[in-house]
Amino acid sequence: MANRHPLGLKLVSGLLAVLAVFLLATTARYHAAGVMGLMRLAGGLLLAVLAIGLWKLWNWARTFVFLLLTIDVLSNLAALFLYALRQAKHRLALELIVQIGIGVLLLWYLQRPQVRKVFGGQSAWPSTVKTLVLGIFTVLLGFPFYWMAIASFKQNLDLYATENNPFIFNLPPTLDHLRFLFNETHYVQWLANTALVGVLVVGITLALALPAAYSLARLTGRWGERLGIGIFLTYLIPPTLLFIPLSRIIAILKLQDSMWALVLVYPSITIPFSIWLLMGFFKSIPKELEDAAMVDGLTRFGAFVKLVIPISLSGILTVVIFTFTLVTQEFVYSLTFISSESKQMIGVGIPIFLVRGDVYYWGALMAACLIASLPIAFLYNLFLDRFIAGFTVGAVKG
Amino acid sequence: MAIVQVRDLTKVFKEGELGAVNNVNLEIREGEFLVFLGPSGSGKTTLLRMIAGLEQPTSGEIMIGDRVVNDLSPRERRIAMVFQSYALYPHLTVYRNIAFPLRAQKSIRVETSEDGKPLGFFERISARRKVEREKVEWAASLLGIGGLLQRKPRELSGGERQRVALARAIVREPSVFLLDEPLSNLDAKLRLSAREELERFHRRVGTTTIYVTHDQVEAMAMGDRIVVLNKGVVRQFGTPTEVYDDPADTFVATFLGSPPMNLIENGDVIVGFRPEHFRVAEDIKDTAKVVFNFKVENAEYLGAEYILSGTLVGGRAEGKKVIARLLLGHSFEVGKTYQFGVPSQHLKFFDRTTEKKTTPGTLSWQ
Amino acid sequence: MAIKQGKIKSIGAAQSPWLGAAMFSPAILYIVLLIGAPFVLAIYYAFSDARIGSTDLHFVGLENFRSILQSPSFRKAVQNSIIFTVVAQVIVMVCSNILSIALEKPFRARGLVRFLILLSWVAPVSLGTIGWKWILDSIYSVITWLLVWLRIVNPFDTPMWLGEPKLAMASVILVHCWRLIPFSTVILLAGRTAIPKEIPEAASIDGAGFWRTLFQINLPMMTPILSVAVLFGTIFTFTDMTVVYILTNGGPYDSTQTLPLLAFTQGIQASDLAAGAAISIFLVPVLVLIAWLMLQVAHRTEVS
Repeated sequence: MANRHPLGLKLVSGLLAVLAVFLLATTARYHAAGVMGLMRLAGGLLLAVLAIGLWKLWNWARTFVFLLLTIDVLSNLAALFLYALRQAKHRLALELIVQIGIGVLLLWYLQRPQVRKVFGGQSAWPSTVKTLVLGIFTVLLGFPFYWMAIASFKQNLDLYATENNPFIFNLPPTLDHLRFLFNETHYVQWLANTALVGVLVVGITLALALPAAYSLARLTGRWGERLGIGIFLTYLIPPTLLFIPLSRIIAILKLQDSMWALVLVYPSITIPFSIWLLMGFFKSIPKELEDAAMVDGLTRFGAFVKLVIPISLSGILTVVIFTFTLVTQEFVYSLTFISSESKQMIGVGIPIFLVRGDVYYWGALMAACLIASLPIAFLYNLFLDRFIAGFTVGAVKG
Repeated sequence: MAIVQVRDLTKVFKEGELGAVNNVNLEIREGEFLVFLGPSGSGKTTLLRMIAGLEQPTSGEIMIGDRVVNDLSPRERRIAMVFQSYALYPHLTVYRNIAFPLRAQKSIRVETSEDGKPLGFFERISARRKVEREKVEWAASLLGIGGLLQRKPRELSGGERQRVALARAIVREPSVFLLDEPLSNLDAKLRLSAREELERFHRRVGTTTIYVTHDQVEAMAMGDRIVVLNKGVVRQFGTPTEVYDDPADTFVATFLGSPPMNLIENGDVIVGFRPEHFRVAEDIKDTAKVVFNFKVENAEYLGAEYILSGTLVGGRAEGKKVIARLLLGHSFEVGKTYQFGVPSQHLKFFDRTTEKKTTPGTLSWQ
Repeated sequence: MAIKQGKIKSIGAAQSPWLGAAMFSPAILYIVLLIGAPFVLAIYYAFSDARIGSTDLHFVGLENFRSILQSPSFRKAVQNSIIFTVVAQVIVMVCSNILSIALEKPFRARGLVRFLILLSWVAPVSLGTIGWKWILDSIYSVITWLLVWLRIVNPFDTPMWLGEPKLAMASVILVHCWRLIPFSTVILLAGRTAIPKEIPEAASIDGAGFWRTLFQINLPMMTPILSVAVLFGTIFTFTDMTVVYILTNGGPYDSTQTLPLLAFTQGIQASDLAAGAAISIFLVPVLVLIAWLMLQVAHRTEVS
């Protein structure tokens, strides 16, 4: 390999190393403790690693340097136009322009052919832009959960002080909110209610959807398939259209303010999609397998129970998770049918009953949301690809 | 003049692993039909993809014309490629498929009308469309698919799809054609006619072509020269005759030819001879020959020829399995031993340790 | 096509319609009783004077429709439902396309990034919305704090995110987008990975750059999957009442009122079942349209 290590690259990594040393040294001298000190320390170490990485021609180091420079240039541009120019701070504007110039110059140099060559010839932009996009979206989409987490452990004095930096703990963290949530509210009761209704709905869904899906996938031919699509379409009918007549039906059945109302109604949301998901699963099982079982002496139904169900266990598990998450996510029915606090489900209990009058216990609220969300999110994530296969209605195949 | 050159080209997919392509050096001549031949996993497709720019080499250089193209993207290399699956754009008509490279490369430029007047924006577009239509129709008629231009790829047969892929490749008049196993998706009957068509097509347009295949028959039939690859290394580079008659090592010897060359270990050499040269001893006249006792264990009658497989009997070659390929005219019984021989000039010698070709020596059979 | 025909026949040979009917009828019955019957009832109520607490029912013709069509809240609700759905879908499509491109190729920590991105879709809607209510709080909003810190906003005249009509509408749209982007992203990702990799490769050899490949090759090839994502997204936004109910409860002054929420406040909170039913009936045309489009997509992919 005759690729020479370009001098400029050595200079840039040297510069980074000097910056890192400077940052670390000043940290040690002035900011030995506190959050700012920690952040400086982390920054210094990062720069040091980048300096080494760039010297050793590691590609990720180049991407990272690009990322930092891009963010620097963009934020300086924003500061220039949103602040410095608008407030007519000419000196600051000049400084910003110089900084932007340096950033752009460095980016330009790192994209030169001779530098590119030692990093394997490819442009650094695609991976930089990709990282930037992913970073921005991850922060934006995940931010509310970070916010819930941090609010759950903040003291009220810290939480309700507008002059404090809200991103960090200005006072030591506390467990008060969690204590309040578990001891003085119906939170645990709601969790239990949700779990109970969830289990019952899962049972009903499986009992009805499994045979129906198998029958539509295998036993009924062409019009079974059409019926399957028809059932899938009923999934599109939202609770917001049905809750009014259903509330009357619930009243007639004397199930007002009872969890049994939800046990009765929820399967109507979960069954259609579950049938659809399971139909896909059953179709993917080779028919020869059942034929063989039947030749070996099982009946059609016997083959379904003893052969098809065990094989489709992962599909059944998908339906279980899907049903359970749907029960926790549902809002309209439980808001309409259940009125007492102690019988509520988690999704309604938290937003409606944790608010006393106009007083929001934000810390406890956030803790409640986070604790209820994370396990469900985790479970759902495990089975994501299967749900997506269900949603895409086979549109991916084409 | 070499139009495509490859120097010390290496591709390593995972660090620490054996390279998919190792130190390959090639020079491809203007207008040549070159075949990369090798079993699956031999690196032939990786090599082609590096030339196309779809894969970044780990080290080494690729030159097209006299430009080093390593850092150029596929679109800047002015090449055309036909994929194994043809990769036709399923949502575009045949016409739009063929026109796609023209529009993507913006290769049609019309600034002035025929009498030299500058054109307006919309006039330029319509003039460009006119040229485009001419070019697409030219390419389509070259391949005999002029009647299919308004169809979608899914309405075409396999052979028609291949022709559309070729038309899409030729329409931009590329400097190099890359073909990645374009016949492997066709059924056996269609494959033969498509092969002939490809040969005719190459003779007509004369563009430098690199053709990747694992099928030795295709390679022999079509290639001006063949590069035999195995495990990312070039085993032999030569004309079909050279590669077949004078294999550089035992891999090439057994990979080409069906049934493959018989190899028999003999001292520190391996002796090889092709099944068609292994004949009834008394038929070989006027030339030096080596004679074996051949016990026939299985005979396959293939219409025009026999394939006999069996073992050698007696001497140091006792028990070695060999195959003979004979024209009709004799009859053989399974289980019997016959006198077979090989003309001396058809014996190939390979070093036993390196498995490479060595100088012919004398043999001691007994 | 010939192969397909044969397949169907072989299914036919092994069918047992009676067992089949016995196995699917309980589920069908459940669906008919709990979706079909209420659906019909909803239409019937819309033409009656049903109220909570009274069992009398009279047919009143178009009376309910006449009165809701005159109400300004209703007109605002229709308008908002459409605005929220359309604007949110446009933003979601742009963002999820960008995200799905960025997520396509495997990289380290892809699983973690995907989990973080997906959180907002899988967490219960009402709980995520409460998180936003806190983020958009009139006094303690972190966004306000950030804007003040960056000196973009005057600390004595901070925006009331949920208290000013325009900002409240933007906030509702923001939360809908936040919730739907992950969903669309994973659906588009599935569509994107289903494109054979030779096709974009062929395009790059044919001279197409990033944008041409995106707009002339990838996106057109993904039309079915794009429409699935849009259709589901439309349903989820158009028929949703959770986000608006928790975030603004339709306020300020009906500026974020939507059809489902109005149906709830009229039908349940104001005990006028008939009016609520009549309002929610206006969801039906959209649903029918979407169901029809969905069938088109399914049919088209079946043919090709």
